[in-house]
Amino acid sequence: MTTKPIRVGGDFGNSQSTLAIPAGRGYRTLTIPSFLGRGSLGELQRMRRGGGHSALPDESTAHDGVLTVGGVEQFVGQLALEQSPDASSARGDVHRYWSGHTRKLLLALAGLAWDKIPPLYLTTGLPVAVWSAQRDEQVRRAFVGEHRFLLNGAERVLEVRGVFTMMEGAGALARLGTDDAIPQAVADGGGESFDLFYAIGQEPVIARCDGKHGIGVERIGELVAAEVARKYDRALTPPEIRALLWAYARTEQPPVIYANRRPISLNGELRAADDAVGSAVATFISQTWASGATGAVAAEVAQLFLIGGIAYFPEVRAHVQRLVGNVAVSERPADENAMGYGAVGQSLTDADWAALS
Amino acid sequence: MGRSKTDAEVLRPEVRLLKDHAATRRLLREARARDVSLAQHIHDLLVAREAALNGQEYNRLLWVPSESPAPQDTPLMDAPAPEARGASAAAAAWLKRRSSG
Repeated sequence: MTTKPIRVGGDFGNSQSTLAIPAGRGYRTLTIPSFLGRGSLGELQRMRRGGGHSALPDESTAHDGVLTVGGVEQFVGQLALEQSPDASSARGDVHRYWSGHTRKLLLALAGLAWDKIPPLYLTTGLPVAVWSAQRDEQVRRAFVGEHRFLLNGAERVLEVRGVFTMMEGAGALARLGTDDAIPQAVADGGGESFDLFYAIGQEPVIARCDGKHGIGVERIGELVAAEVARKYDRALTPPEIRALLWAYARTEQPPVIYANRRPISLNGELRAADDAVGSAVATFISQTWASGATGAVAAEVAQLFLIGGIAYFPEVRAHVQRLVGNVAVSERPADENAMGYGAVGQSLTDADWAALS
Repeated sequence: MGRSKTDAEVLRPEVRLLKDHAATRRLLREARARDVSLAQHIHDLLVAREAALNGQEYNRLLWVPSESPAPQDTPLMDAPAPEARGASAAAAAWLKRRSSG
């Protein structure tokens, strides 16, 4: 008997990758950093043996992985970010969506989600500036088929039976918005880029969609790191930056950072960087969605949703709120695209999927 | 008549957790979110584990308010379509755009 494919949503961002798996009437999501880097299972085992780790698994071990594809071992996710000297998310490289980087992230996520991976129908997004029917086809060719790999030394097989793509932001709108023919928009800030998606109902209005590199969560991290280097002559590591941003955005206790054997407090620097990126976001939105010459921005839009990791940052939210007002931020802004892609995939018919294989 | 709770023999194991460990921090967050003591929360988790081993739904038992709802494990079949008002319209719009592209 052939197993029926599961329809999942995949959001492969510059910074984080999320897989949304339908479960009950909602979604279970799994997120890993979008990083791959040099590393092997042997190295990992040596690190674990020699590191004096507690027997309790750390939170990060759920996101660890040594992925072996075509005989080549690589660290993936948090492990790559923390341990690989050459860890890369291939950020800014649009080829990553069809060249193999993104496929490896999918393999890792599927391997972490299931011991025996079911066949999948994948719905995913491409940046506003990248999506075209041709690129949709390129992504399909890169993913569809049977993929044999090892995750942490265990043999796995993933069969992707079909792929459907849309623009980033369109997934979230499918989930949060309506099908009424009213103007709706999504402001989607990820790790390294910001996408503005605009639609009447669910019909995209391409002339009002735009994307910009260089404004996102990682920019906030870069600004903080630059300020720490200037003030304390101390370089922050990528895991430190990530931990600081995570704690700040969720108003949790930040990790203690030392400079020359003295603990330093970085709340002011984090807020200033958040504010600077918020200002850049507001400028981009007002340039893209100016409503005529009145100075109003997105005045005609009935519903505007702020999503992505950037939505956790209070100063960015405040800037957008001041600019356009009545902005909706959901409880799980970083998962909205993945869950929306999943919902769109669910609504496609078997015949649609057969044509997308 | 059955034995009352107070008559039952109990074990009082001492549990030592690393204070600055991710797993401990998670337990503390969860206990705060449930408004119970850490000891009570650990007790409840173990009771839930026992219930899960006896066939109750694992994710429902372990759900705590601080975490995203963790629905039941994905069955290896199509789950019922989650609600999303715009999903069908979005699918139609992007199918059309793809074929006209």
